[in-house]
Amino acid sequence: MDKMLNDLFDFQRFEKNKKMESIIDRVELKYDNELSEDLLELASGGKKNSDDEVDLDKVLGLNSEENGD
Amino acid sequence: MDNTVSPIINFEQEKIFREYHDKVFGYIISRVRTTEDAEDLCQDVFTKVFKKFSTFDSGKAKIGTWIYSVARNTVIDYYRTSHVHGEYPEDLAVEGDIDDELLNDETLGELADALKKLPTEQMDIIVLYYYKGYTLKQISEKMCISYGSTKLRHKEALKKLRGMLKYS
Repeated sequence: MDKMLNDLFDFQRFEKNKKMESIIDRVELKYDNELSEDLLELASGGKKNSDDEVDLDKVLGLNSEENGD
Repeated sequence: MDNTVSPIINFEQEKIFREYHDKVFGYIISRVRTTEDAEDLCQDVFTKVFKKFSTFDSGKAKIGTWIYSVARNTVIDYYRTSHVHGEYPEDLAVEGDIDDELLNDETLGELADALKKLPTEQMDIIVLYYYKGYTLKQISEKMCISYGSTKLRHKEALKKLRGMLKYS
């Protein structure tokens, strides 16, 4: 079973199955500290561990004023 | 200047080369010692693919699946044919570990369906261990559960997957 899972996940890295990819994305987002830190850095405008309040919507371009809504 | 001889013969093969070169190289580079070896092996893969291209039956498998098999076997041969290449990587499957016919989109879909039926923590452990390559100790720290619990849940997950997957 162990080897079989290694084979299948190996293959997933090569030919990404969409169902599997969505599972992997969810797990990565939940546990991948590096990814989380990068996102935080992006949100704080390039300043890691910034104490300033972060407007994620603005960073991600979801601000209604900027979009002209 | 790139002095390697391109194995590409026609437009269709060039299209395939463009689509799969990075995937093949990415697969190989994580399994061999040097970039040079990876480039050589990548060249070998496409030479083999284009040599046998006329015999490839798209009705039996997707082209990507076939190219993956060629890449995998090329890396296996790389370790078998020369002792200076070092130890055989533990995570590199040997022939016979899984039927090549099971390496396809459908099987991955079945595995995804089976994973979704597991308790969330067990599913997470399987992905973190087999896809991300973390050790169970690292996983226990990430999930803030004891190492013993992580080991147990990993074992339980494998048992459930064995029961759900018809080809296991």
